[in-house]
Amino acid sequence: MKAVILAAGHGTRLWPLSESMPKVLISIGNRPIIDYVVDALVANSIKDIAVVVGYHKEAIMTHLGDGSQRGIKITYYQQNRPLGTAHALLCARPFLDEPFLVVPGDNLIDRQVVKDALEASSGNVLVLTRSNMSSEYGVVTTHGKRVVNIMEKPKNSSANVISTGIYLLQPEILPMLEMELSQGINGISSAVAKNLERIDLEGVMTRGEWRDAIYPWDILHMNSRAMDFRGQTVLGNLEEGVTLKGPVHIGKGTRIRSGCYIEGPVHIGEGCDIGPFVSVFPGTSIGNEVQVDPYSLISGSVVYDAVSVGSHCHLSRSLVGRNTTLSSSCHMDSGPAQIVSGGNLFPQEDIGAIIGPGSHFEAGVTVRPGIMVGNGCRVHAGATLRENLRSRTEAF
Amino acid sequence: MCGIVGYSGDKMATDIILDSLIRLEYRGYDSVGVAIVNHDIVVYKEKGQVSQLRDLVPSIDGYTGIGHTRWATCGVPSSENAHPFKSMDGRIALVHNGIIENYLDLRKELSAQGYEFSSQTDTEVLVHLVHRYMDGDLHMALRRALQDVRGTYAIAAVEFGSDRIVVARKENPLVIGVGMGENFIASDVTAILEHTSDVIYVMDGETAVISPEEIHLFSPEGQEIKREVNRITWTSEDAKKEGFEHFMLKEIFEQPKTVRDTLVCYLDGLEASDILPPVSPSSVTIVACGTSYHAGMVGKYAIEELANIPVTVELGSEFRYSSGTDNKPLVILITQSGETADTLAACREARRRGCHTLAVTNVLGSTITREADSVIMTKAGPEISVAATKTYTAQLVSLYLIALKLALNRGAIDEMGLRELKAQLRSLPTLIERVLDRADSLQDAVEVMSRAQHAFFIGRNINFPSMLEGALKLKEISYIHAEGYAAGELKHGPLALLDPDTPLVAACLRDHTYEKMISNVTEVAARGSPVLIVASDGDEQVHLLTDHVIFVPRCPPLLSPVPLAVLLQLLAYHVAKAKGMPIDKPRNLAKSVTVE
Repeated sequence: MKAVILAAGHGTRLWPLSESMPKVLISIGNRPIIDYVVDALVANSIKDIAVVVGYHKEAIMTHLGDGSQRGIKITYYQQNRPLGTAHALLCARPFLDEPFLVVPGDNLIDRQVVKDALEASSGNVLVLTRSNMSSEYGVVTTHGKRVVNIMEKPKNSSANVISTGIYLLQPEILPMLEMELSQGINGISSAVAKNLERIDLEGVMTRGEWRDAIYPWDILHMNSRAMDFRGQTVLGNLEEGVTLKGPVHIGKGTRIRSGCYIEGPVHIGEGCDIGPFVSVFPGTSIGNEVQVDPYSLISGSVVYDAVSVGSHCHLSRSLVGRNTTLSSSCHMDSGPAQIVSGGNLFPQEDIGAIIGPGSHFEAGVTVRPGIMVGNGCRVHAGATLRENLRSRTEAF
Repeated sequence: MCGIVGYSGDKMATDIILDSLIRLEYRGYDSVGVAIVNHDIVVYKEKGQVSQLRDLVPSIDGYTGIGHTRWATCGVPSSENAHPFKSMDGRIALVHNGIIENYLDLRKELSAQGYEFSSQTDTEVLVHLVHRYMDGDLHMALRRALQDVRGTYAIAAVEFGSDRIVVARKENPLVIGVGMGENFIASDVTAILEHTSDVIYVMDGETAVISPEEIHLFSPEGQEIKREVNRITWTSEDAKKEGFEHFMLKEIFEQPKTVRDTLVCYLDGLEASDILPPVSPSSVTIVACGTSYHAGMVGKYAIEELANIPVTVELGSEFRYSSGTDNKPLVILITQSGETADTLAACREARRRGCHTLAVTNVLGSTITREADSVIMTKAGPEISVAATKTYTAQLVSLYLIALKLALNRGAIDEMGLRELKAQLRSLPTLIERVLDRADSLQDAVEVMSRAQHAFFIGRNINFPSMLEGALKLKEISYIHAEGYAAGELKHGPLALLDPDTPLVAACLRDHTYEKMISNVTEVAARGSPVLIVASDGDEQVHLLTDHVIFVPRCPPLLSPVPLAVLLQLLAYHVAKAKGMPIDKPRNLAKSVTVE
């Protein structure tokens, strides 16, 4: 069995994280999403994998390489313009000479999801799951096992069975996709939906975990569950007087200085310098090369690579993009908030701030709950942010 | 990284194995070796490149054999440490790519049983282990031996009197090439594509036995398994590029990793490390050629700023003509290959004058690592593209580390300053990622540059050498005549050469040189030359001067040469690509310049 991972998309709704990074490389629980996908395939002995790349393809190719380090073979195909999933799949046409799995590279899945697809009948299979956000996905109606209808992003649907976008397909189906593409139908789902009478498509409800990060705050919600490791792994340096509780991972070359208190699940990457006297509370992931100065507190947050957190900072249920600098005494507390994104309001029970990559916060900045800050912003000392900040702007 | 190959068939094994090893040289090239089975097992191995072995190996009659090309990561390259290794009775030979983690324990145990070791490698324990379990069946002996081993490997072994090759893999690549009356094994399809495009991938934990007519594959549990043969449709050149169009682009994109690797190696233990003598020198001389010379110039600014020690930078080819002075400077020699003839000559001259010599190089075991008093390794890995990219940024990082170490030795930096600088250095890989992520934004700049026949690059202070390097990259691969100048020098001559067809590239970053740079640029713009400004993120003001702006992420001025280098590499690459140039192998240039 071969598999095709679709990794050419933008994920624009993940702004500000997606502005310069493909969605598949955004980390949850300190691992890029596509790594979960590759792991799920490898765990099911699928080792011949094609990846369709487009947006920031070089970053993806550099990250995955040729697969030989994981004992698999990865071949790349390019989709030069974002013309839909069917178009993306057909970019890998020479690869598709036997039954294959199609897997979106930007959903977090576990091995069970792939297993469920493989154990279904030998024809064409669509993996289904349940979601209370069905208006964001394709809602699927089945008759017995057979899929009889797929409705894309219905406005008011009470149904909660949705398509995961994961298919097991026979190569014989490709001419149909090509034909539909020439008619301007360029999504796999819509092409399949149009031909459900002619092809046998079996729906399989998966027992596995399938999660999608549509908005950046979804990452905060998913972060804790993604860190499903147990025990304590310390590959770095712990100074005397550090307290670790629960599942904690500390990466190579990371130094945790005296008096730090870390309560898992917490995942800390490589080459960090934390403390002395820093508290890190459950659900937090800290990337590589992060520095956290004394007396700061980080709880339920996602801190990406090369972030620098000054002393006396407080981050709660907040997300900080790579390379952002927070000077001392910056506060990002959490609370109930209405996040404004793309002209819509998203009520959240408990959320902190969402800060894009490469921004610089001078000392004593407060960011109110639910506020988003873009890429490369500069926030001057003592400012309080009560509104979202566009990328590359200054705030006083 | 290392590469292994093997052949069993009806042709002369030596020729095929040496050919395959040449194709694997990108996996490492500091020592090579072959073992051929005939009336004995004949082993030839040597420190150096495959071509050197080719001159050394006579034609040996033998139709089965294995080979290895090595890139030392620990343990120096030498013929003793080169593979293959033979068992003491000479009946088994073995090559290995990977790391045996528990080799010290195994070595102790085997020594106690009377096994003798001739090398410092972890691999040698494997051949003795296999010998210990040998009971007529090499495959079984290897499987049994691997039960004692912790680590990663791709292994190939041959035995006297047999045309079989036995292989095993775990977390290191290995493929079997399927031929007619002959079969192959290799780390990578590239090595054997010339002979066959039908391959079988060996997966983790599996072993296999290959003979001219047969291939038997075994699961981790030892059951024989069948696997379909894959037909390879791409060419060998494509294979090594992992999806990238050119090695240069692949290497540009490797920089977050190579910079990180170099930092990880030295940063945490910098205070305690002995890369420099504890006495602090009263002056420093940096000697290098080409791209390394530009790195040296950045090093001058870094050392002078952090450690407050005066630095002169000299070209390798000119150093010997400089007069020795009574004061004995610390001499830093920068050479990617470690074999640059002029830099080596300078190293000897410096030692003759009684100076402490510190080499910055990318090749462990190269000549300069033996001749200099101390060495810093840039962890960039093999660089294939002639135009240096990842080795340049790794050199910059090494020089920052040297500057920091000199500052520490002199007490010129306090604990707070050290912590801050370390944090800044640690952010470099991510900073590079952010430059790479905006490769798409270069389109307009590429159009401007690719129309030009001549171009000028200007900068001030620490960004001056960055612009020299930017100009060098452009001329090397796009054949556009590009020159870099200190911005202040523009008025002293080069301004006469500017015309509406000659673009000027100016680094106007938000640092203390910003205003002076802007006035230089204004002057040029007024004369009708197209101006391309490299500006810091968020700088709207530069749009008043020109339509052509490319942005780099903000960073501390001292470190700006790193993101700037990456940006200008991308610019040069895309200009050369737009012009259809042979990017990885420009005319008249060689990777390593070993003549004076």
